[in-house]
Amino acid sequence: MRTVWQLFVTFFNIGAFTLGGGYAMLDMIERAVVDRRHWIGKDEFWDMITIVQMLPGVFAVNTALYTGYKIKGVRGAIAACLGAIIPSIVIILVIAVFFLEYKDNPVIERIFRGIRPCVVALILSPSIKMLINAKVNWKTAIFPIATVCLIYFFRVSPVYIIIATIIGSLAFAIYSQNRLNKSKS
Amino acid sequence: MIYLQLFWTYLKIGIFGFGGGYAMLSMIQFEVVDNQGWMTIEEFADIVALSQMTPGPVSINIATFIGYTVGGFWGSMVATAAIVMPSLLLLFFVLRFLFKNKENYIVKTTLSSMKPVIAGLIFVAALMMMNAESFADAGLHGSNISVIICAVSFVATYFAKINPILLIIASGLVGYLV
Repeated sequence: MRTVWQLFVTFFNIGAFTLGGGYAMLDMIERAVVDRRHWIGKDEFWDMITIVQMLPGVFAVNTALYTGYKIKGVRGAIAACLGAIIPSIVIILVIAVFFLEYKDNPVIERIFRGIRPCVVALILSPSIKMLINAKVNWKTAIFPIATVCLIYFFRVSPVYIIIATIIGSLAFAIYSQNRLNKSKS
Repeated sequence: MIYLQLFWTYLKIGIFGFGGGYAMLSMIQFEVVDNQGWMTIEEFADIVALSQMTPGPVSINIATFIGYTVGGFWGSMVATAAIVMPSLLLLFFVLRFLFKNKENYIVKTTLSSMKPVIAGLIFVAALMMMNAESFADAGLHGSNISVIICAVSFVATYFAKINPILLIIASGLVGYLV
């Protein structure tokens, strides 16, 4: 029971004091569970993160769930997850109350007029990083272009595009494994 | 009824949110702005900015914020619970399958093949925010200032790796002063 509570407190602190979302939290989580508490080994932690990165959903929540589970089973998973999200909920509720009250204030409005183009830039940057990371070439460029056109011009729901992508990628993976096996034999 | 819609919307986002927080943005934007019409794209951009400046997981911050804006306190609880729930259920499936097949060729190839589409998904989120109200007609002595803020912010974050929170604060200051 003590470890479950400690997990909650550890993730609560990380959730309350880390700015910049999931990847910034990763460093704090490693320091807390590997270096300070010695709950799991360094290699074990990074092996787990490799898998967690591939999963759908909120990265920080998934990291909390799997770290908690490895240390203290289902109860540990739930404690770590609640710890990671409760500070967010509390802080955002306070901000939301004030923002909805004052968003029509001319000063606030001017500030946000400056902020919006910055938000666009902050989203553009990871999209280009992902293009480079995916090693997109002239042949595979059709996929991001088609995605953009389908959503932007034809208003196709991203959910359908993701479902189609999962099916297509899975088919491609099975096909290329078969070809690999054939060329080996 | 609004709670049910919030729950369903955020459940979909939790299930199909591959590729991290930024890729999820286009999905959230599509559902919340286009599909349900709960807010304008400018309000959405404001929520994204505030969520990025607040400690904690950014996607959880956005879920709580949108939930509160749409359905008050209980709306925020429903949206946040709905985005976390699929992860909780997936935990048991993944523990049984993925951890035992860590080097599985099919799993690896499938996920890396999805990357080009995810890059497109993230780009679309930025593209949809570049509309007349939030961008060109920002009212800051015509349209130029917005374009300059965007270009400078892009160079600052992509090449100079300057902290996004600093950029948001600086852009807000420019917006206020100019």
